[in-house]
Amino acid sequence: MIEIGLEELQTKIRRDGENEIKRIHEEARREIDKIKEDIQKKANIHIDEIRKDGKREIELIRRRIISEANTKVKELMELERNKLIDKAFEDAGNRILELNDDQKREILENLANEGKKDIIDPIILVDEKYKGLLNGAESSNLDDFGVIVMSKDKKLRIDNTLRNRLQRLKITLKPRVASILFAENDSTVPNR
Amino acid sequence: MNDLERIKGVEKEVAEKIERAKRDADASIIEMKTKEKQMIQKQVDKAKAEIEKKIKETEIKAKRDAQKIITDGKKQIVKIRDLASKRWDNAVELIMEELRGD
Repeated sequence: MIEIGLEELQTKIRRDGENEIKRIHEEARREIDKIKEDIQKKANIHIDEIRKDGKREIELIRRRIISEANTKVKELMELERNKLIDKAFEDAGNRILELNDDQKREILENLANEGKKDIIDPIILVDEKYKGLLNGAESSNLDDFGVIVMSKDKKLRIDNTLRNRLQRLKITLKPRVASILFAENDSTVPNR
Repeated sequence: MNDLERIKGVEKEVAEKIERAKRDADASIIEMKTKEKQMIQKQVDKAKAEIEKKIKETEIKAKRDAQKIITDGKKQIVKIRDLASKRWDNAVELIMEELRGD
């Protein structure tokens, strides 16, 4: 049996105690570090989700704003093209009305003849303003240039007034007019 | 005081120190655990603030780009008008031909 002195024993007890305290501190520190690590892991999961959502939102916001601008430009350009096309039709109608009587007569005859192809022995109506320009036509309050070709029993009717023809032409002729006015390459414009 | 009592005194003193160290350690651990929500929330708030900032910056930049797109578009519209004015008579003539019923 080893005998140790009193002082030595006290020192040993104190040293063992200090070592135990040190161990307790270290263990606590390890546990706190572990808790911190867990907290950081949990926080990272939330943060990753927030960042992912944020990134998606940022992309959507950007896309929406740019897309709205592109759409607006497209709409403005389309509106401008349509306005110009409408104006061209309006201009053409006005130019027709500005023609001299001989030219107007020729047009009225053409329009009447066109109607006669579909209706045999028809009634031809013209506005009273133009009655003198077309032989055999009946005067009517059309309030427009052009003719209305009608079968005697009034079952068939072809409206060849300027307003009506312009409306019809706007549908059928619009692509060609648009091509003449706006085609980027001159070679795509029909040679007139 | 005899030797045994002196030793017991030292043992008691050391045991108290150990006990205090355990209590302090437990308290630190409990404190850390109770701070969990607060610490997470703090980081979440920071991340949210960063994203909000980025969203605002993106919005500002995108609006600037959008404005440029619209400005360019308006220039395009002027070009469309110029082009149309040069070809105007051709288009009107085409319509007039059809109106004439030739």
